[in-house]
Amino acid sequence: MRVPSYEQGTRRSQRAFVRLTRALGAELDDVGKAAMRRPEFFGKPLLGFAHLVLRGPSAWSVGERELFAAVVSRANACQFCVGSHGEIAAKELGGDGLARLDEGRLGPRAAAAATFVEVLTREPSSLSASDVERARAAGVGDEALREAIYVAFLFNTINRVVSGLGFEHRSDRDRRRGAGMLRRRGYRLPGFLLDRR
Amino acid sequence: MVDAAERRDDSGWVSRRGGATDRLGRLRDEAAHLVEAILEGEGATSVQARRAAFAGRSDDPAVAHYVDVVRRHAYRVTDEDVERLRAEGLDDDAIFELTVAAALGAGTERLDAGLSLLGPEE
Repeated sequence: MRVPSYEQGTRRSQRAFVRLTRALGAELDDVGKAAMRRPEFFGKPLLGFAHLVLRGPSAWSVGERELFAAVVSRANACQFCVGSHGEIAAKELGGDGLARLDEGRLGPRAAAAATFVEVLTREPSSLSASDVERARAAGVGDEALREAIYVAFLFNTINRVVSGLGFEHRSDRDRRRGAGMLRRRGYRLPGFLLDRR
Repeated sequence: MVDAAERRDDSGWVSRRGGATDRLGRLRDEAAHLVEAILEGEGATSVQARRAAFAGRSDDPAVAHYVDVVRRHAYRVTDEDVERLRAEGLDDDAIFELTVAAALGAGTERLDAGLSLLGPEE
């Protein structure tokens, strides 16, 4: 990454946690390391929001929300995020979610919301009331559309952090295992890693 | 270890700032909390510098170029762009903060653009 001091934790407990996750075969990824490095500025508010958006109660399933994350990440050419969230979406939805979307094999409601967040990502100023109407006509309620917009907000932010700072998975195995951890555990980190000391 | 984290989380370290209990209200509050932490929290860079990065601006040409690329198409950022920031005296913390602030500016533009098309929440 382009901020090399963020590769490691600053405290002994943080460095031990990174070593432990490495030994377990799913090393904490670069977003997690940055969260640990900057808990007040970034880690706690970012991960708290991510967990709420992607795992809290919602009009959308976890798989659908992870798919929207992958759609936004693809539009922003963020391979790191597509690799993680596309993987989670695929596991949740069964089969490659992005491919199913592209081939029209996803339900109309999720497909309409995915189109909406993609346009919002690529060209926010081009969105108009007609885009909202199209989503509504496909069965997307306003609350559900708002929730999808918050997913787009989160990933339009994090994609840029990841790409700007050159975050990478250490290996394809790390990517897959990391996605598995996020799928099972969500976006929270153990509190002792983020506590102010 | 992870179980301990879950218990902690259930005890509520996730911010409840704003006090909303409905889902959309909580999303709004947590998003606002994120923006506040990044733009106004303690950091190596000034609040003014982060606010400028959020809006895609800087008085420093190297920073102005960098935050513009991050906001418009971050995948085009190069190692050289970041080296120019270091040559201006920015360290990892400063680079991180300006990157996050610029990224958040682009995210917030989209949040506002999307929500503005919908009427008031029911």
